[in-house]
Amino acid sequence: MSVPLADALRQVDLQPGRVYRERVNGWTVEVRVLDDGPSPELAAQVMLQPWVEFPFAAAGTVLARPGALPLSDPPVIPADDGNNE
Amino acid sequence: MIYNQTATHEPIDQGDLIDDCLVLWIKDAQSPPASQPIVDFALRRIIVLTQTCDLASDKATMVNVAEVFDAQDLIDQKLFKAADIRGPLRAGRIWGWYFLPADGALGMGEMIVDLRRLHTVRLDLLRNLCRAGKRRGRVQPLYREHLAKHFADTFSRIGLPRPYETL
Repeated sequence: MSVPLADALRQVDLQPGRVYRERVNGWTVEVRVLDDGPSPELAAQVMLQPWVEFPFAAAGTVLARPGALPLSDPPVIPADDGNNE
Repeated sequence: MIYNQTATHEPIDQGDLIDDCLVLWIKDAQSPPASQPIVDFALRRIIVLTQTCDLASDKATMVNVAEVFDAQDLIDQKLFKAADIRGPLRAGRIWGWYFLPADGALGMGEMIVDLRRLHTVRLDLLRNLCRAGKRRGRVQPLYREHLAKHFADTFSRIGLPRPYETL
């Protein structure tokens, strides 16, 4: 009876990052389990990046006119800096 | 090299300095729709703050920008003293403001970014400005990340009611 390798391996308690080496039918067989998935702890910390742009419903339209925009708010200079280099 | 020059067709990126960006100012808004709001506009130099990864993913259609002022203009308007610029501003110790040095080759004098004068601009409008040759340059990596960190810190910092006392 021939069993697909994947089916046979599904019956084994494989651990990520481990390498298993066995003698099977005179041959040395090595199975390497790649640790390529995030651990459950890390997976819970992955930031999500949903991207939604809600439609803009204008309440009205006005024509802007050229104008002098006000000055910026004055900066708060740290008191202990003393304006030195 | 703090800046580099970009070709007109290059995509918008964080740190791009673009001239003649339309910014709006709601001058008067009394209970619309009973009265129409009065909106002024001006053309300003801006710097792109939206992160490179968000622009590269091609999902963003709107871009966050901050207004950029000529440093001498702000001195003339008495918002800054020249010593403030040489000292704490240049060292990144004034929250909400960021110094950008001059670049003679690109025709830019010393500049100050006001990180509280923020606008959201359509990406396609900025692209049009770039195609029209209005992009003056791009702040290079490390410097632009330094700017982005200062921007983030400005809004994420926690101010204490008073400094800790010492013995």
